Amino acid sequence: MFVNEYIMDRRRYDKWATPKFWMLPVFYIYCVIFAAGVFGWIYFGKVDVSSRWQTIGAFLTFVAVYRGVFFNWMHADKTFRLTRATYFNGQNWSCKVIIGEKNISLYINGKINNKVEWKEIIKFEEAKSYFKLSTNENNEGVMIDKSCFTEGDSDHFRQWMLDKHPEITYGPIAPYLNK
Amino acid sequence: MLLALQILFGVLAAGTGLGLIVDVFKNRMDELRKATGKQWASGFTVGIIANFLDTLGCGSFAPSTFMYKLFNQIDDIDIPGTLNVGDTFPVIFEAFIFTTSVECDPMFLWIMYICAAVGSFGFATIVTKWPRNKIRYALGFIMIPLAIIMLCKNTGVGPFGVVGDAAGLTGWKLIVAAGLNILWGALMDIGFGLYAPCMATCLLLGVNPDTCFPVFMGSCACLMPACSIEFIKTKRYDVSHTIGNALGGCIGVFIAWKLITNLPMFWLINLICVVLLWTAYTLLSAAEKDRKAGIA
Repeated sequence: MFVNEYIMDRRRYDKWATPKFWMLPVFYIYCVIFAAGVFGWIYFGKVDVSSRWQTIGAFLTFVAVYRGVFFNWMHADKTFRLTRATYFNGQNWSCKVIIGEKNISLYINGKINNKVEWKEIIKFEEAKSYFKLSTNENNEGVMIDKSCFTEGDSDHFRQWMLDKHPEITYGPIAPYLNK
Repeated sequence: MLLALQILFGVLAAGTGLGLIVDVFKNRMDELRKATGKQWASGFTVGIIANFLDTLGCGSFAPSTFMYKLFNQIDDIDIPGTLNVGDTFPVIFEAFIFTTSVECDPMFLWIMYICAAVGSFGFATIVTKWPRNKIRYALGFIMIPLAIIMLCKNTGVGPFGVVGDAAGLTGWKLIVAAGLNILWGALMDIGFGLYAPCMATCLLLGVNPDTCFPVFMGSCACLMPACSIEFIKTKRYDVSHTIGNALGGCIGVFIAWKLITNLPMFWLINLICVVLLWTAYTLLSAAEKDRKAGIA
């Protein structure tokens, strides 16, 4: 049995939920939009045309910077703060993951929150600082912090998973989430 | 040519579109094939009417919900997701065509958009603790004198001056507009529409009535995809209605755009006053209904 315990704070939530924006394919589309927007904003400001064209440039640069760079982080941050305010009285919450032979139990603030059966786990992904056991439900999964094992450790856990559950696909997490 | 360019920009900006298409092709194709003509027609019709009204500033959620319940072709539980995802495309389309067809100071646009985003993301936890009904009463009662002042300005009656013609704001007026847009952005998190209060703010500070449209539409276009992504992830939307709503919505937006940009200024301002009064009525009636039901 392995036990993993950590406090879910803003920093941890942002780290796990926010991808590295520069590694997302869509970021390069926003780079093109940004370049077109800045060019339009400057160029149409200098030539004698209607300022509507300059407005297009400004709008595109805003959309590109906001959506391409800040959006994922702002969204994750807002989700965390709303969850904390709505369900945990404005406090960070403690998570305890007990990985047993039959299932995985999740405790939040000392109370049982969820039980996940092994058959529900479809992927075992490894990042630099955490493991993710993904279920097929909306890309959700059980998060395990490598540095927060109170029973067992990360190396033994990886080996145990590979020996005990070869049916679960093991691999590195997507590069944009590898933190 | 210009329209094609604008549509291209709209498509590029709509990251939500990509999410929706991927989700439909991966998980919802069966549902799409089984959709009946009635379902498509209902989504399409609701999209046209609701987004026509939305472009005028009336908002689309209330009329859409009413019509979906009337047509009875969709599960109630899927209505919020269908509206959010389906309306994201018309709203983005709206923002683009108005941004490109109306003269507006680019810096003013940037500041207003940033403030709406900061309000929505930065103050979400604070506004969720505010008393929703009291805010409804306050906003509802403020809208009525604002509409009357605008009517007086339009007709030249009283000591209120004339309607402004600025393409942007500077100085203290910009600070006031930016501060209020933070508030309007934050109030969106507890279900208040941004259109009418943002329009009223800009008009009273002397912005040209035409210029108000890209300001509030852009503010919303940048905020809406956040909710839509959540609904797509949790699959809480009806595929045929969402696509019908999105397609019909763009047509509704186009018709309203033609109407607004061709309407003489005098009648456009009168129309805006009607929208403000309508918003006041909806806010006050919702507050009264909740008060009677004992909801704070």
